Amino acid sequence: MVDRRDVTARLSQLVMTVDEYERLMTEALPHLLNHATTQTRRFLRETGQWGDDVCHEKLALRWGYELVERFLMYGRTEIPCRPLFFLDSLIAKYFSQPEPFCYDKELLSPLGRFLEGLTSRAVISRDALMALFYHLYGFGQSQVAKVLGLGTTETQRVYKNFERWRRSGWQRAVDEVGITREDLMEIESHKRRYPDQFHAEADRLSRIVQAHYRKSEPEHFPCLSRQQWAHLFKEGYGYDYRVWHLALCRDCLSEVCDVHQDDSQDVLTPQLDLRIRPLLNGRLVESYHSVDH
Amino acid sequence: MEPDDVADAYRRRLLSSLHVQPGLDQDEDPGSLQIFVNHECVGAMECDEATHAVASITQPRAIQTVEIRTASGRLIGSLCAQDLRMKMARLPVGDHVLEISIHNRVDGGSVQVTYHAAKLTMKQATSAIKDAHPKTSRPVMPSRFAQSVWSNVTMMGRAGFAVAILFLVADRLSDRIGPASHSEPPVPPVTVLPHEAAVSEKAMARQEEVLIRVMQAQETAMRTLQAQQQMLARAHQAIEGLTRGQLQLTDRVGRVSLQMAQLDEAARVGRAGLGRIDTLAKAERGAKQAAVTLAQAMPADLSGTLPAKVAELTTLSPGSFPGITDSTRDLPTLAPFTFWMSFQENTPEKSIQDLIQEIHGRTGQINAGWYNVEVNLPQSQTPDLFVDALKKMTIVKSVTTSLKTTSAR
Ligand SMILES: [Zn+2]
Repeated sequence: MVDRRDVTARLSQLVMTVDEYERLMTEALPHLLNHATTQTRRFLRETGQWGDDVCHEKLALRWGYELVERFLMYGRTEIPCRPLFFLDSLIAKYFSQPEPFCYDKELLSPLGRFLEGLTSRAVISRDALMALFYHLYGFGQSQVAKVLGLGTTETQRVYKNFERWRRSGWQRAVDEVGITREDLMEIESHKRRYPDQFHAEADRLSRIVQAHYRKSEPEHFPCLSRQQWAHLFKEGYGYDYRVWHLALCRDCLSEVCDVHQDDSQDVLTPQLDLRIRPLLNGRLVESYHSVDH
Repeated sequence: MEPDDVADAYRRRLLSSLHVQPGLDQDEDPGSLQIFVNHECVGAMECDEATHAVASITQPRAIQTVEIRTASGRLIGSLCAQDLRMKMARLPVGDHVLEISIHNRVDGGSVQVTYHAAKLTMKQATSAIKDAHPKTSRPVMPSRFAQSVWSNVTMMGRAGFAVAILFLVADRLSDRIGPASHSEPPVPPVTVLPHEAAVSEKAMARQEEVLIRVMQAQETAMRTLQAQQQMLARAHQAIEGLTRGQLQLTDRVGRVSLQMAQLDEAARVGRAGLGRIDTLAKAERGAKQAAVTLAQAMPADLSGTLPAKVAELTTLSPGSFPGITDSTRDLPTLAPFTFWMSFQENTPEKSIQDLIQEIHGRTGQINAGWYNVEVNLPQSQTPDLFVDALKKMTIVKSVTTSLKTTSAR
């Protein structure tokens, strides 16, 4: 067991080489995670977004983890530096953004955490972004390609996105955002027993989450009118824009599906139909290999 | 399971994920790399079929951070500009290499991301060529361009070499969402080569026209970049000289401060009458002389080596103190913050001065062991966090923003 004070002292000292930095980081990971989690907890307390329960504890851990992940990578290009100082400055910068986290009391239920976790992953992962179309509306990859008006090459990429997501992406995302097997079972039982209530709840929560994460996009990524969407598809541009915005905006997605139907293309209308697990070889992914089992 | 156990199991899970980070698994195909500027995804760069890919992003805001993630969300490269005007990094990603360069100006910032794949096998090279010229004999890009960009890049088999260019303009849609009469919009949001086989003639012609424009812009960007690289190399040399000069200077400052302290002490203990006036006059003369010595030392050591342009680039100071910036940096995000700091007993003055220099602090009066220091904090950094960090330094005894003791005479 490494002496905590010793690690703190070394993290405050000047690190001169990448080797030294990487050795120290490996040793200090628990300490760094703890430090970033403490700062996150403090931020949440000070902004009136805290509660003394395991949900909040897990939120602080998750956001602390995301900060450390960034810090480990950024730090390599900041050497020589004092790691703890650098971590603190990264954290301060991150917290100084408007609404750095998607926090809402309503999102603390298993369903809320699932939706929020999935969407936050979609912001950093193209696989997860494409998978949102499946999890929210039940679209398969060919349906996604149709709705987004993709060509052959891009469609192949969507197949790859779906494949990776099913094989490992979903499991990793669920683990890393802190959804346990019990959470998944609770969501599924809720869906089975009270389908109408579940649907209404999922509809409301997914709108809260999407509105938050859509805001993180640049200001020049607004909702478009039907004519503008039609123009964009007809002229064949804005590929990134289509993927990003339509995955996170149900209203625009409906507009686009209407545009396609006007062009007598065979596309589904997006109805919220929440799927918890991805399909692998025609079966739902069941395996669960979390460390707590 | 108990709540504590749940949180603990989760903590262990996250730690195991962090142990895998950072970087790319050796066998993970880079595929589509996503580029994030200031935590916002600005586009993706396709690296699966090309040996090299370049993406340029320009936006009207300063660039603070750049992150590169794989499609699965894994962070494989990043760079933090820390309010600097220019910064570059070359990062290994498995067998491949990523280069990120940030350039901030008064009117915004730009980023260039370059991906160099590991050496190509012949088979891959052949397929790369095939994909780069899909069902058409039109030249995809003028060779002039390829040469100007890559002439100084070592690569395997120039012929077997496909370049994917991605030119992202951050306000890519604004120009299209405007009035409908705007029929011939400028550079399209994203242009990726090799592009699809099934494109209509009209689209092809448009693409070509657009490509030429993209390439012209790219060429200009590359010329600027090369000039910047040369300047950077000169700046590095200058910095080395500067560091040497700074060391000598610190030494001199140390000696002068010591001399001043002694003189001050002499003045304070002070003898009555003429003797005292003599000492004070001498002290004042001594101080003036010291100041003159410093002033002379400064230009001799610093100015001659630095042409004006390069002096600008020295904002890339080596090992700058995180979160603290020079007043010379021109991004308008700094706020002065004044505090008092005391040190552990027997801390050498040299260590104190080194720390103050490292945080780019300006010292004011020293009062009963308390040093008055002023720094420029980026507005994004709260003074509290800064003070907390400072308190963790081994030589620092205490930090406060207001000194309660009455001024000792
Ligand atoms: Zn919208």
